[in-house]
Amino acid sequence: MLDVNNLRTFYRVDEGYVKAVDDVDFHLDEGEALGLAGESGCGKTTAALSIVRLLPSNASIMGGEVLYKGQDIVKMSDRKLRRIRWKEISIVFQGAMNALNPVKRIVDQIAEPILLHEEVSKEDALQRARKLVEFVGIDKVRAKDYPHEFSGGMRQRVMIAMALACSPRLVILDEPTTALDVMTKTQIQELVKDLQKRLTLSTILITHDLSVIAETCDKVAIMYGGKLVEYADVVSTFENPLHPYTSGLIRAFPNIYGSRELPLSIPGSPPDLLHPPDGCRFAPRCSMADKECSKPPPAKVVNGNHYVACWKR
Amino acid sequence: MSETLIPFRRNLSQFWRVYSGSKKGVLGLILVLFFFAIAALAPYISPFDPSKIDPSRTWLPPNSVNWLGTDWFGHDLFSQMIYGTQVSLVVGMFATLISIIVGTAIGLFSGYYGKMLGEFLERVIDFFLVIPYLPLMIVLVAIFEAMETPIPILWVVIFVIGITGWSGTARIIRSQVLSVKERQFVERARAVGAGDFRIMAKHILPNVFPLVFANAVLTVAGAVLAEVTLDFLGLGDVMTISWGMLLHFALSNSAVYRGAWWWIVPPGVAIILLVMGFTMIGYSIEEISNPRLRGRKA
Amino acid sequence: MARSRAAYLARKSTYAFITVVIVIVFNFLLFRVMPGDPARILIPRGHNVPLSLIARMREFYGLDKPLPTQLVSYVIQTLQLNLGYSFYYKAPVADVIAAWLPNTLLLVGISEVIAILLGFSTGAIAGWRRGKRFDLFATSFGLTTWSMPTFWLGIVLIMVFSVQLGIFPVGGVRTAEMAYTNIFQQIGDVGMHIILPVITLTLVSFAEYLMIMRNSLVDVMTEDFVLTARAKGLTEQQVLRDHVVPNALLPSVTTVAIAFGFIVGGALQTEIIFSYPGIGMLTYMAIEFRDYTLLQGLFFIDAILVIIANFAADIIYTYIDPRVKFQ
Repeated sequence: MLDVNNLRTFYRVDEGYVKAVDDVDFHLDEGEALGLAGESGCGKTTAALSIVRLLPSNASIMGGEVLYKGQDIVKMSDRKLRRIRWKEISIVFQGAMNALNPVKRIVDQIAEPILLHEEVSKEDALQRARKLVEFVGIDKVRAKDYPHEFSGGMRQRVMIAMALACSPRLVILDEPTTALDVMTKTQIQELVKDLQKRLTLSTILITHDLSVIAETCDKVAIMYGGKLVEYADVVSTFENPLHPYTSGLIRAFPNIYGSRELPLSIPGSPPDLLHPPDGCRFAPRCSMADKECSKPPPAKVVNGNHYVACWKR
Repeated sequence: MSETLIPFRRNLSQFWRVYSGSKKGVLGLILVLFFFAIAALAPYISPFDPSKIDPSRTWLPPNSVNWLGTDWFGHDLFSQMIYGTQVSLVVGMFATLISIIVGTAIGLFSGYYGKMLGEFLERVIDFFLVIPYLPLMIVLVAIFEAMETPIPILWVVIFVIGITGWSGTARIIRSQVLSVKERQFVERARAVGAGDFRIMAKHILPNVFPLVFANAVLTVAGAVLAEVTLDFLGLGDVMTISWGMLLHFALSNSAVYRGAWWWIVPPGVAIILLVMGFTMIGYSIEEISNPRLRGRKA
Repeated sequence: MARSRAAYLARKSTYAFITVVIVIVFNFLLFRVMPGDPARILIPRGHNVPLSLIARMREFYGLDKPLPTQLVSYVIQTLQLNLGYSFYYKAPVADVIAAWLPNTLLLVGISEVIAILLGFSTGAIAGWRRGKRFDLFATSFGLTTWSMPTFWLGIVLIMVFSVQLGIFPVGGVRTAEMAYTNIFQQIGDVGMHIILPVITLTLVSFAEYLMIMRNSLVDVMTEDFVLTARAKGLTEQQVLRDHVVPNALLPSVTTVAIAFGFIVGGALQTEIIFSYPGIGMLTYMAIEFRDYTLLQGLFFIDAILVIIANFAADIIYTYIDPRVKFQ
């Protein structure tokens, strides 16, 4: 359903181009849940936003294609793109942010895309909006309230309800639980899993928290320094991480069932995306790196359905 | 934002690099420096003594001798324009100095001391923001006049403009102090025993400085306009040569009906350019200090 | 939490009232600061001033009583709108002001409405097209008019349109000794007289509103909900109209309230230049003839107008921002 091929999205700054997303591929079928993981600044949000071309004015897609049901979004006209936005592909931003309009009622904000994309009366749209509010576990009565009257967790639910307004085929969730406490986090995760099953939704979940991906996703794509370093189904990745960065990430999260070790953080800092190194971008921080990793970018090695970009595998 | 005293010189050169990239800022600076130069060089570049009267050459439009024509008494307007620069700059700068000092003091105290004193001062600041400035200035100057004090009117004008223009500065300083006050390092400084003044001077002032400077420049712009208006209304020193006074005499001698545009247009244009210059500088500094105004996601 | 708009506004009007009282006290102190016998200054001699008037003024100021008593009675009298007597106009100050005030309200009312509509809309577009040609033109134009002395603009307009081209009358609000046969004639005559003053005041105020809205808009544009709006598939116009502008209006309204202090100054200058018979012109006369009682009364009315305008802005704000807490 969704094919992202060789996507390159750069930001234009005074000193040149920041190569936030540099030659990334991933694919999604109907009903699949993909996790897009990596640390802050690795390009995962940019990659996801590129899918609907929701980029700031100083960023642009420099190459590659984003095929949605066969059509290339990158080359699409603005009119066609606007029709796809929300109706086919919607986004759940972090609700803790100012992602909701402070001066509009929740029910109006949810009804807004319905009225935009479908031929319904205002009253019908509002009705549907109220039902959606209930659907995500909020009392219908509260639909006419304003965003500031909700807690962070409830705002996240509202964002989800809003994203489902036009019954999209694909929902992108950008760090949906990052700013929430553990209890609320679990509730939201459960909600998302439930919705995925009930509605046969395809989802892309962006997060730096691998545990959430482990809980809710089918496939996972790990990004580092703007590049895709590992891409496989969740089970294979967690049982047998091939890329050193992935193993590092997994080790960084304490495991209740595992042996009692201290979580290890990965030494060093992310690469400068303005002038990225020629070779493997993770090499400076990699314990297995050697001369091989510094010259040309590593060749892509496919291991059945388990893709990894590393010299050492 | 650094938490200790910012190394001044390094920040200055960095600031200049950004500032010189701003077209608005550079243009404003050029304008202001231009007028400063004229004010400083007045005795050397003025073709005539501005107070010299030539009764045979009255009401003349611009000509080869009097580049900007003459007024009803035969004064050379070009010379008067040149000398007028001095008054505008002097009054503008000194009045602003008063405003900044008063405003900073009140803003600092109001922000730093909470509870009674702080609240009270905040009301005072709001009060002065609400009062219409021109009627207040008029009333104050009228009172000084009635008192028949020996203080020269020029200084009265400077003082009046100064004490009516401080509330903008005070408001900015107050809000900055309030936001900085909560930060960790102030707690630390207090814990170590640093006195109140020390804290304010060392930690709060440097962070507040760029905004205050921008505000000061904008205040100069306002002060120049205020001075021109007061002069025009006849409330300034009638003997000084200032752009406002030029317009005052132009109007009281029916320059409009006589179509003496050369008496009316040049002072106005000069005022516009000078005020614009300061305003552009002020806005540029504001934009540089406040990243959100530049429109990028901070 | 009592969510009562009425209670909130009651609180705000109390503040406004207190401010009014402070203005009166301030007014009182201003003129008492003068050394020497206040009677000499406040109560004029000569000028063919009838003794009865002098006596009434003496009574009004109560100069033989102790200072605190004077102050209290002055406050009470002023609150009752007993503003003393104008020796120049030989009438109660309140009456004189009441006669001239409507003209000012007409001038300021028309000018500010136009200035706000023009300024806000231009500012919104300028902010939205930040850095592009429209923005540059709009802000340069606004900068130029803001830097202009109001009175100078008036003079230039008179020179061009009244004296040279003879299109508009030179001053006043109506043609003297003209008897109006019907309302349209009256509107037409007043209209011709008021056009240039309105243009003057509008041009100078407009720049302020433009900058306020533009900066507010630029701020709002960086907010996340704007991204959400775009993600929904709304066109740029829809995002601007439904999401950005409503939020940009909020700080704009509060900032406009502060601008009112400057508007009074601008109106004053405009009236003087155009000999427009409003309270600005009245102020000029009061200064000319040293009618301090009248001046005091005018200052009080000016402050009242600004306080009322601020209060109106507060009221409007409670309707447009749902986050306002009414506790």
